[in-house]
Amino acid sequence: MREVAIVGVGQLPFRTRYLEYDYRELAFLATKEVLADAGISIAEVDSAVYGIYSDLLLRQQTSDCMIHDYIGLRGKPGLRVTSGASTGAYAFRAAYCEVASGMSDIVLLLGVQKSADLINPESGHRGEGIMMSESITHDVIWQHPYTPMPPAAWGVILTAHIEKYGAPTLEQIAKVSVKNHKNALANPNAQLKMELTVEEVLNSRIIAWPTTMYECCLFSEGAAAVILAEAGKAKSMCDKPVWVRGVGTCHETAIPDMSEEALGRTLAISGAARQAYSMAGVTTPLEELDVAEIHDLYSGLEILAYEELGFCPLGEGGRLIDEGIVEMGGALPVNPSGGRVACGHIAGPSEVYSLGEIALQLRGDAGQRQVKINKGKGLAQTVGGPGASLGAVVVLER
Amino acid sequence: MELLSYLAGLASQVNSSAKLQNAVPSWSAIIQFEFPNEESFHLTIDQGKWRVDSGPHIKPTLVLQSQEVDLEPIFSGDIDISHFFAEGKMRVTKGQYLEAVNLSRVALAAKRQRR
Repeated sequence: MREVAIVGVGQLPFRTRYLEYDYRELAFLATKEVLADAGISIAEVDSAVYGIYSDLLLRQQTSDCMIHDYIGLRGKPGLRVTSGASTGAYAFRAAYCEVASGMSDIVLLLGVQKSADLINPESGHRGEGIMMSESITHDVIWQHPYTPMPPAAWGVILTAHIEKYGAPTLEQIAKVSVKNHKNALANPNAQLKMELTVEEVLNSRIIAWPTTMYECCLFSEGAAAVILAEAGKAKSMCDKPVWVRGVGTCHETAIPDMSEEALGRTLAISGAARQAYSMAGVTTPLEELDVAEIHDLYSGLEILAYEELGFCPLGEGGRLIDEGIVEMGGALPVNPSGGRVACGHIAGPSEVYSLGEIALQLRGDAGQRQVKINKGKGLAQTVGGPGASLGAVVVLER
Repeated sequence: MELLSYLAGLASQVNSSAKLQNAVPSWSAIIQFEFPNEESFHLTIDQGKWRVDSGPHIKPTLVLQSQEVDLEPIFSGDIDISHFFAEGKMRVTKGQYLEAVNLSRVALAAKRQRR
């Protein structure tokens, strides 16, 4: 396998709605930005991998075909990946393999999604159309009757974890939300810039107990891209290539597993982490990493991810937020971008955005939200799908 | 009831602000609050404008039965109404729960405006 590096990052701000652009145009804008960052033209790209989550939300099938043509890659290989809220990270794995295998030297990875152009045909309401689309993420026969929407499904896992380990506390979960909202203030791409207190988070609307409104990810539109290149080309293209040291993905059970071993766990994350750490030679992640972007679809899940990623033993994730370890000035800052609750979220772009954020951090190009890079390694983790069944972890190094 | 005086003040704030009236666009409802040992009252919302009256209404669109008399934290925007339902302090006996959630939308917007 050849060495692969990220040589370009392109990110559009997350917004509730890009009323003025359709998905092709968002894709074009992100592509334009990433090509400029990499210092190359579209003609130098050998192939593309698209992380596009939902045809239903786009009201367009085979959208990768439309985008491929629109951005000027007609005639070159293209591949579309969809894997729930891990779409962009799974697409990254495909793009990495494309380069590492020798099939392509330079690959464009593009995540794009519009999410609000959908209406319920009976009521004419956008919100109902979106909810109908999202509700069929989960097993429509076995899970949908019990947890019709994602927050309820995630809530089952979180409450099971709290029952099993006595943690995290509601205050610890709220602190994670406060941290990420505060981090977003320094991110020009963040959709929601709002400083909150623990009390405000705890007293906000309950979405699916124990998750409150300010502990839920946003629902956005956006696009993000990275360029991957093989080692020789990366070194000539770029002063600061960011090397891909570990990639792991894991498909786990499609419905929350209530067995003793799996109760309250997100095994897709630990499964993906095992692969990525093994590849990257990481054995003590808390000591070896400078920065992490973790998929806080719900603030409680960020705490669970600390445990599944091996930052601490199971049940002790809340301690990391209490002791400030994951704050911006802590030993391992998590979600300097503001995370999914404040930076923004839509499957596809979110994960590519997080990968780009880690690359920018390792390059020292993260502006006001730059963290100290001492060890030279960062991590991006995502989780999605029914029953938190699709996990991905990527370890990057400068 | 002191709550009625508080609500009258909130209604005045809402009625003097187009932004607050539009916090829930084109909202019209008649929300009745009932208590085990206190007089009921109702809130008439007409295209976003509020009026508070004591006693029941002949045709409320939403009826909330509350075990908790102190509802000021909801109307001050300090606590979302969903907590009262989650804790078993309040229940809907007529109408849709999501209509009750709209109250907190307006209350939170009013709180932000007062800052």
